[in-house]
Amino acid sequence: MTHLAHQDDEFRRGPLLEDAFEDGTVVFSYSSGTLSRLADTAESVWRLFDMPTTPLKVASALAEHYQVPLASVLPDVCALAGELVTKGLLVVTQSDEGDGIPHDA
Amino acid sequence: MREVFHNRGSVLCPAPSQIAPAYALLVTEGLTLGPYRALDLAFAVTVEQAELGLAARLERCLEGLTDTCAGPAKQYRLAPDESAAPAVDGGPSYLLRYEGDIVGRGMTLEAAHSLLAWHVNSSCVETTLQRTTLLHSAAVVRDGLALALPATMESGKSTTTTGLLRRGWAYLTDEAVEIRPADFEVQPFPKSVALDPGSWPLFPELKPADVHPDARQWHIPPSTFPAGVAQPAPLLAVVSPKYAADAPTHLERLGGSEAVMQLAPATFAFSRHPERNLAFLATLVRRVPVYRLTIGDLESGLDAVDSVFNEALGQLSQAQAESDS
Repeated sequence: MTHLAHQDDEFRRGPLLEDAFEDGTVVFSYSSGTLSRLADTAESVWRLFDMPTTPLKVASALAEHYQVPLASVLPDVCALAGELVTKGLLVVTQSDEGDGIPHDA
Repeated sequence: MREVFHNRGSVLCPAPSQIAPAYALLVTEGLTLGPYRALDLAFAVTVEQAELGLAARLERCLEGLTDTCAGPAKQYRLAPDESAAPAVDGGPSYLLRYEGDIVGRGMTLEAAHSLLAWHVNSSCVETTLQRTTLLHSAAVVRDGLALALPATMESGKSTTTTGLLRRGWAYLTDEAVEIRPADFEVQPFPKSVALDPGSWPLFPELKPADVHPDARQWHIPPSTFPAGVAQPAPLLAVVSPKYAADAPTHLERLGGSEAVMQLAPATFAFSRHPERNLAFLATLVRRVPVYRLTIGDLESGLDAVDSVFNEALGQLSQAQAESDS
């Protein structure tokens, strides 16, 4: 099951443990009981979710940092946010559009 | 013919090959083997009215765990299961108890032996996990330093370990590794090496003389190998093996996060104690090099392990020389 992350949904981190290494970050989710590794761009996205925020704001920050169009970043950020929700690393705090409930992709 | 033995000891348990046929059914009454220690588990095994050959085989299987500091011990009791039908092989059925609770019944002698070996491993892990992190791992020693070989089941840990022991490394375990956080010393759990049938052709010389025709594993006592059992030793490196038939042998050093992901599945009950276990793995991968080893054939895999160890040893010697100067 994959969460359909809407760009305006607000997400925050779930209950977790994390440790950063030179080649990526490992994160344990208490809610799913799984350990995940985030590296490269996924790690950058993860770091931008350190406070409650939306995929749109994260994508905007990335687009500005890498000097690329927002449209080339936003779909990937929404997809990754959905995966992070599935792994229990992010949870929805509020939804401007949609019901904030996980949906099967 | 019936005899009563109150003492353990190989003197009273000749190897089956030494038992004349007329005595093959010689029974014992309350022959107690032990005490033994498997990490935090202290235990003894009482064999009631069983063939002497079984008692001798069990004693050899458990010899590496002999504990000279006898203390309170958990009790295994293996006895004929008189209320059960004959076992599947037509012979007598056996009943295994642990602390009075039935672990298995209606078993052949061979099945009872295997169940006991499995239950000792399992109880050892469960008992020790209450105190500390444990890796599902083998460990061997050379030059006073330890190498851990963590991997999930069926990855080739015991085969790799046996190959290294044959090359002269000393033995710590092929099942569960405790690394003491204070000094990173690997503690011994020198159970018999358990070899599955797929590995038997690689080590024909290790076939036990009294192996049962239905045996699913060979249990090789550590004293079989030239260097025997090692003392606790500081950890120098970690190599996570994975046997892959027809693949080229390949060694890869892992970064910290990749190493944690490699070791977490080989950490017993990782999710039961996530804070303790993640902190331990994070410290481990920052302290010693961690490698992933794909083993296509045994000898090239063992060469790769030797090369990792030699390189880590060289780096350690160099670092010590620099700190001395």
